[in-house]
Amino acid sequence: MVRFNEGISTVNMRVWSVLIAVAFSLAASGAWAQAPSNDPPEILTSELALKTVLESDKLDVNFVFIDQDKVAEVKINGEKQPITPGDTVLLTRSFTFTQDVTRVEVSATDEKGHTRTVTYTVFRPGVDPDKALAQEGQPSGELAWFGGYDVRSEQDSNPTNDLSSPISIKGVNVTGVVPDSRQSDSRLNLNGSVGVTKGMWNGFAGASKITYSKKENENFNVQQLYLGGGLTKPINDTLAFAFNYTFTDVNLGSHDYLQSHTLSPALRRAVDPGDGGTGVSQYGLNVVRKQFALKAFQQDTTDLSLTMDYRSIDKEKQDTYHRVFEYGTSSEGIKLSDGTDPSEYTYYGLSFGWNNRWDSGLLVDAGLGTQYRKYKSDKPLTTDTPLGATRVDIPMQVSAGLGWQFRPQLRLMGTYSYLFNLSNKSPFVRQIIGVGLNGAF
Amino acid sequence: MRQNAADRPNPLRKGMYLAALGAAVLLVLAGGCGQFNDNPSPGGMSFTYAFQGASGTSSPMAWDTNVLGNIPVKSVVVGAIVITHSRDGSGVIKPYTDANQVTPANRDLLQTDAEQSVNFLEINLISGDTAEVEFPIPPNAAGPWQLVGIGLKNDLSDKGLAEITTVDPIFYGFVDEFLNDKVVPGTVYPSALVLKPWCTNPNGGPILPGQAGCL
Repeated sequence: MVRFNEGISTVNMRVWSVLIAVAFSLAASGAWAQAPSNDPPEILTSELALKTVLESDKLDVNFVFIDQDKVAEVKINGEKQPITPGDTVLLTRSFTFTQDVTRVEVSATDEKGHTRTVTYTVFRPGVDPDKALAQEGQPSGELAWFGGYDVRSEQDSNPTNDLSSPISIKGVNVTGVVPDSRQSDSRLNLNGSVGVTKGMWNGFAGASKITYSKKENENFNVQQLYLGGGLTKPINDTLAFAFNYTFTDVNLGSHDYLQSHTLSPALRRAVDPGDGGTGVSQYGLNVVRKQFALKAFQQDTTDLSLTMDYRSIDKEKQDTYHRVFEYGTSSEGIKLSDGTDPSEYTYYGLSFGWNNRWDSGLLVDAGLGTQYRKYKSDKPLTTDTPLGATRVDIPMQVSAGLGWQFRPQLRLMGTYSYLFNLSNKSPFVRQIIGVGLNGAF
Repeated sequence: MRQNAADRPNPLRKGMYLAALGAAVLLVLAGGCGQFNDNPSPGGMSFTYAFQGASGTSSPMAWDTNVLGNIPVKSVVVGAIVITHSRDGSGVIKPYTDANQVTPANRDLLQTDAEQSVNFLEINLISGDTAEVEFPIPPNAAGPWQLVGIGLKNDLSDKGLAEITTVDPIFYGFVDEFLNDKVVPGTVYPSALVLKPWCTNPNGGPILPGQAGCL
């Protein structure tokens, strides 16, 4: 383990001089005399350590290059330096540092072609090396892109969320209005997304489409387009502030349904999961402004949610774990003449997900989630239950996936999910079985 | 002891990369996760009906309380009932065009259809100018449905549909056609809904539920 501050020195230019550099060269000459001839040249300097915090933006640096064979060439940051080849070469360079972190790469090559390269990291006066290196660890100013796709054929046992309950309600056996023989339907589920990052900025866009086979279920076809962007600004080595904006357009059936604008500020914290892997906790707020297409019936609304999100990946990068706690409000903007909104509810949610990932081969996913949705005014079928005087839904979902990764861009995946909505208004059971291909670039 | 930042894996970098992924790749790769996968709420598939008291509307729900001795209607149930039975025993599913078509022979079948259609029925208090009822409409996969109105002699607007007893309804009626999702959601349905007494005696005269001879 290497100490972070090891090798960092504060330079007093007045202390060091060419004479001391020469003294170094003389001391090193003894070592040189016994060095094997196939060694590359030694590179010595008294002004720079591998990591150096300056006292001034300007610094004169004296280098000494020593080799049993003649030093034939010296380069600094790729630029060839004017030297006189010899066993010992002295070189003085004046630097003016204008960036918080500067790397000085010095290479020396002897006449036999042996080359040694040393990189010195130099920090301007007042710069915290810890913070500067953390910031430097962010994506560079270069543009990078990513993408992903997921194509699945699925069988949905209950697209309409038709009533169905393993237990009777007030003595009534609930079966709903859609005959069981006509309830199930197949559907095609397409998803794709792309994004770019540049420095602390990011942008992304994507689309998804669910299409049911039966014409009678076409009202449940969903098309979504979304695009957005944001930034991630490090605060220190373990903390960062993130802010994202997402625009979403949703069509249901063949009709416009809504457009939404989501602002998502969040605080991210690096967490040690204790197994040698890495973890990130995120504490976020989502503000979603919904603008519905059917103005005569639905009014624009604003949903809020608070999330605590944690993701980790093990040391070998084979297992990932994800959990989310959330609290929020939701509404479809339905305003009745008495001022109530039967679609408005608050919710608490909890979900967990595990993925086992080999570099290639078997893929295993498992998930578990539940929510507690308390409606503000929607009435239940009966108030004579422990769930209270207004509608309460408690959807619970278990899901699993099994697949095979041929390469990261091509994975075959079978999925299964079971959803049971425990409710005093709308109990139902729904299963979705699917198989498809997905990948990431 | 702190590690050299350059040597230590920085999970925040992964987190920042996730920021870029944001809603994008996470949506794509969510298979197997515990997130919910239900359809968006079909909020655009609800239906609005204006009942008695609505000013400026042309689709009143009307009843004549005089026939029952001026017993007032305190609340109404309005909504959709998916009809799955043949009301006249012919095997053909037809809409109820008159409340008198509800007979002892088909009353239980109609009640069963009403029980299974509870998601599409709403209880509303009658008060002042409160005039509109909103309810979700059944999915097309359910088949034909009718708009129904039921006048209740008690205020059950704070109760659930399962708490309506056999003595609560005093009027009921149908819009005499099957409807579907082509009826423009969010607009007031134009046809009147005329309610007739829930119970009649063997001679056809209106009586209160619970009274002897209620058919």
